[in-house]
Amino acid sequence: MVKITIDNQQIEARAGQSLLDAALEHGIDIPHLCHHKDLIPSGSCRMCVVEIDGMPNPVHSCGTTVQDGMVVHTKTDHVENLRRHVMDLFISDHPLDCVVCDKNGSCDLQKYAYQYNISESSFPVELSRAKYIDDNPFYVRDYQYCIMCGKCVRVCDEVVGAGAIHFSERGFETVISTAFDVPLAESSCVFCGNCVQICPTNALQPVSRLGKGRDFEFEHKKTICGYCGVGCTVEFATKGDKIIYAHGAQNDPTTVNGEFLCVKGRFGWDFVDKPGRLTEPLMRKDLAYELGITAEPWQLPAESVLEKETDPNWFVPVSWDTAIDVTATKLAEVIQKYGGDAVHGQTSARCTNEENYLFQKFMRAGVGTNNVDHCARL
Amino acid sequence: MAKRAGKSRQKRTYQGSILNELPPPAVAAVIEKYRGDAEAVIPALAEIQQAEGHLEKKSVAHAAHAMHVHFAQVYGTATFYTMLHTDPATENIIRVCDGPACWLRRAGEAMTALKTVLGAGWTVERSSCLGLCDHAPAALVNDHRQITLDPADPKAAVKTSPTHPHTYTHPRPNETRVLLANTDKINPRNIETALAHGAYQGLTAALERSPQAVVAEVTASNLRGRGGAGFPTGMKWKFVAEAADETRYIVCNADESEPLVFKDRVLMDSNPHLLLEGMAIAGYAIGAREGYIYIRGEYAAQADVLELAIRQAMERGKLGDNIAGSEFSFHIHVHRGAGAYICGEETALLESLEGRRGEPRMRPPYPTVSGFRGKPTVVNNVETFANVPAILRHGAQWYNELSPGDGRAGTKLYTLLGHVNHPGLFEAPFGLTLRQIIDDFGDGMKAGSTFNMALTGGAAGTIVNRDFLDVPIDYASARAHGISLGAGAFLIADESVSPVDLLGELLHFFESESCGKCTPCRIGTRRTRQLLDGMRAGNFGAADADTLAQMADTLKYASFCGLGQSVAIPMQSALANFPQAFRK
Ligand SMILES: Cc1cc2nc3c(=O)[nH]c(=O)nc-3n(C[C@H](O)[C@H](O)[C@H](O)COP(=O)(O)O)c2cc1C
Ligand code: SF4
Ligand code: SF4
Ligand code: SF4
Ligand code: SF4
Ligand code: FES
Repeated sequence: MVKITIDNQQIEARAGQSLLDAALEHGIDIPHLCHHKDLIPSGSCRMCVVEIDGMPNPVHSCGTTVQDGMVVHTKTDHVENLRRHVMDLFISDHPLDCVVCDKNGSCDLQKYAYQYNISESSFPVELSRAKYIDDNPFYVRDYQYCIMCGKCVRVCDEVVGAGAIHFSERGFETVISTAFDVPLAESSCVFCGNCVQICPTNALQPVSRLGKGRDFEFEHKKTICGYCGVGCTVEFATKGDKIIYAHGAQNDPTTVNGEFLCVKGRFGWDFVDKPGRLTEPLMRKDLAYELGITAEPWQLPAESVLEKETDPNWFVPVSWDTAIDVTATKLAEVIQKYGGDAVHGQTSARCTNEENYLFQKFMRAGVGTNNVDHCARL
Repeated sequence: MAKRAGKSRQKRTYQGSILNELPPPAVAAVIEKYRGDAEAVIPALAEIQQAEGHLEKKSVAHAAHAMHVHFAQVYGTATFYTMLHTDPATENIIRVCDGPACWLRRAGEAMTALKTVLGAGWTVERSSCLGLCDHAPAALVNDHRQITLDPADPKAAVKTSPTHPHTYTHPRPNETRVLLANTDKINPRNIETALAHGAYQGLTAALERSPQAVVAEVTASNLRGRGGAGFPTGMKWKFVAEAADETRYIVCNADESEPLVFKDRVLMDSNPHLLLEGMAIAGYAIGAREGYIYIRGEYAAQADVLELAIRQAMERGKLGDNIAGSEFSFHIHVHRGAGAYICGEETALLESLEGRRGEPRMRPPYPTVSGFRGKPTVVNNVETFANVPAILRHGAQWYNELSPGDGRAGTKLYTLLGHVNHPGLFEAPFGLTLRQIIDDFGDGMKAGSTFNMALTGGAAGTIVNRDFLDVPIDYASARAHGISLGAGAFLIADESVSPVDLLGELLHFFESESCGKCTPCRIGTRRTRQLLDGMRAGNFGAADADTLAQMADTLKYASFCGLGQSVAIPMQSALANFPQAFRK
């Protein structure tokens, strides 16, 4: 532990921690736009400048490691003035059309524009880039809002490992792009959307939310992703009974996934209100007739079920009790007649570890076979 | 939001992998040569460009794949450097310098003229300072020929101008020559001529002592870095020599892209062995086996000279394994940049040397702790290394006596430009005044010219007025008196040059060369240039001078690296020394 003083408040920081992280963990809010606790600091936005006793010039707190006895001032006139001026520069290269912006209310740039009372730049506004790219089903890139924080590039490289995007050109013309500006689908992008989530502005937004409202109009509901056994925490932004978009839960130490997601959890939720979704047990009509559940006789079509698409009309809904009873009885019959090895059990990567464990236990101890496998082996 | 939700979204079909298209054989050969070598991205791209005229998408994709670097990163690297281009090129390209010295000599007009007279087959582009200020108005033809343009007949110059720049083999009156001694007798392409005049004797002297003793001698010599900051060289070497990690590197900073500075070019052109010897001595002193010379891409001619000199030195056992029969082995590699001033900043240089965009790194850790490949690294300027052989041959005391005065030692190369009778390069001790520089070395102001203003140090230097004519200039004078030595460049101007114009030209340079990483420099240099453009057009806002002062403060204290930070130096000094020029 390292003892430091920030704005007259004594705090204990972890050795090796950055000054900014230590401050944020203790509720001291040093402005920052390019920093994320899970990414290697880049020091590019320059909002996090602070003064430290004994150092001649202001330093960036995101790139400064805490040292025992450090005395830090985050709100001196000089650094506040530097931040205000840096914001002035940002805004001179930004549309600032917050009133029609999807990011309104959850935008870091807007937050600081508010904090430093900047309603317009003192310079004539000139946008460095006007690249609007709508080239994939998942998210749009509207780089006029980009502030070059580089978080998207770093998350893609450091966390995802995809390296699909990078800075190109240089100076005022610097822009984020794929190689030769190829569409994302031709790049190494895996559409995890972590760049979208981490973007502090409106530059990257999920298609599903465009024009659907601002975050303060949505409810944010946490749940566990149903796609695989990892059990990532997903936070859905909802409006009425509709999901607007999904992202990883931020600042929640209980999640197993930190705050990042994969393409399925983030973008693969549109099935939830599709009419074809299975919501109750179904029994095929021939069995249901045999068991007296329905009065209509019915026969399976002659072609193999593997070749013909399943038709909802082949089934009748039954209660859970019936479904479980019938399955248990039929399974017991097969085992009694042919032995446990006549049965094969297959679980799903969408089940949790615990469920998969229980299932193999059931197959081995209950059914009496080692014929058990899992779809993720495919 | 409404504006965008209205856009029609269409389904797209996605193409297969670009890797299915094969590059032409010449490109494939380059790619094979660099397979698996992620550090080689920049040379590989340069060679691919040579093979097919520009950087074709599929070629870059294959190169990225072979070098195990993300395609997007390689593309980002290609677009960072001005000498690499992804668009199809014409057969010939001429880069016309728009640095301050060439601006004074109306290079802009020559460039406009060239655009109309050269016609098809030629691309005419601007370039930041080419390091050919003594050839102003200068240009670089097909990335190799360094020429002087004749504004009266620019086309003829492109065809006939001599291709090799000045080497200053003959001293002017009042010079003290140590680095440039004997350059009239040395043929840079023939090591024998250098050996006949003492080359590698400093290395022999070093090898007779312990590495610690060599570091001690350099420390005692008070040699200070000639790249501009004047950091004590012995101290830097000591840090690296005492590092725990035993893999260490020597890197020579030959990026020389600071406007008005061309001293390293002259050194490499006239006596390349001085640099090689200095690097070898440094390698011995700090325990490095390999050295890299990072030379700016525009100095292709000088890079060729160095490569030949290295081959000859290896043949003569002065470099390579077991030098002069000792245990010490040292290899030097030449790495060509591809057009970026920022790569002179030592951490950006290391990024570039490792094959990436030249964006500066976070410091700490400093290169002495974690430099090239994350190993302890000495980065020194060409001129710094070139001083070392004489120190080893003649001793620290002799070296100190070359420049009397506190904190001064050795000689310095000065580049003198502007309205003096005899511009160019000379060697002299530290502590000269502007008056001495102009009168004793520059043969006085041009007829009809009176001194009004000087830019000292380089583009990132001070803009001073007549009050500074008699201040002795050394590494301490910037802080003490507000006049900087920097890399030793002096632009002397009479009344015909306005401080607003000069500052505007400098900001144009910094804006063009900002790496774009941090906000103050990326946006701030542009806004400042735009503001100065307005002033140059006669539009002075009441608050403009205050805005400039605020901008200088932000650049100085909030920029990430020395580039943005040092833009404040000419801004603040111009505002202080020519206040009336910025208010109308
Ligand atoms: C923007 C910028 C450009 C620089 N360009 C050069 C250069 O071209 N050559 C050089 O030797 N040093 C240059 N430097 C200084 C280097 O960062 C470094 O301090 C120097 O190479 C160290 O060598 P020295 O101690 O021998 O001077 C530059 C610094 C900055 C901030
Ligand atoms: S990105 Fe942020 S600052 Fe920019 S217009 Fe949208 S809400 Fe406003
Ligand atoms: S969606 Fe994921 S893989 Fe694609 S660019 Fe963003 S972070 Fe990279
Ligand atoms: S797109 Fe977003 S995350 Fe990426 S650099 Fe721009 S503002 Fe930052
Ligand atoms: S000051 Fe910032 S933008 Fe400018 S060169 Fe340095 S890191 Fe790049
Ligand atoms: S948060 Fe430190 S520079 Fe951006």
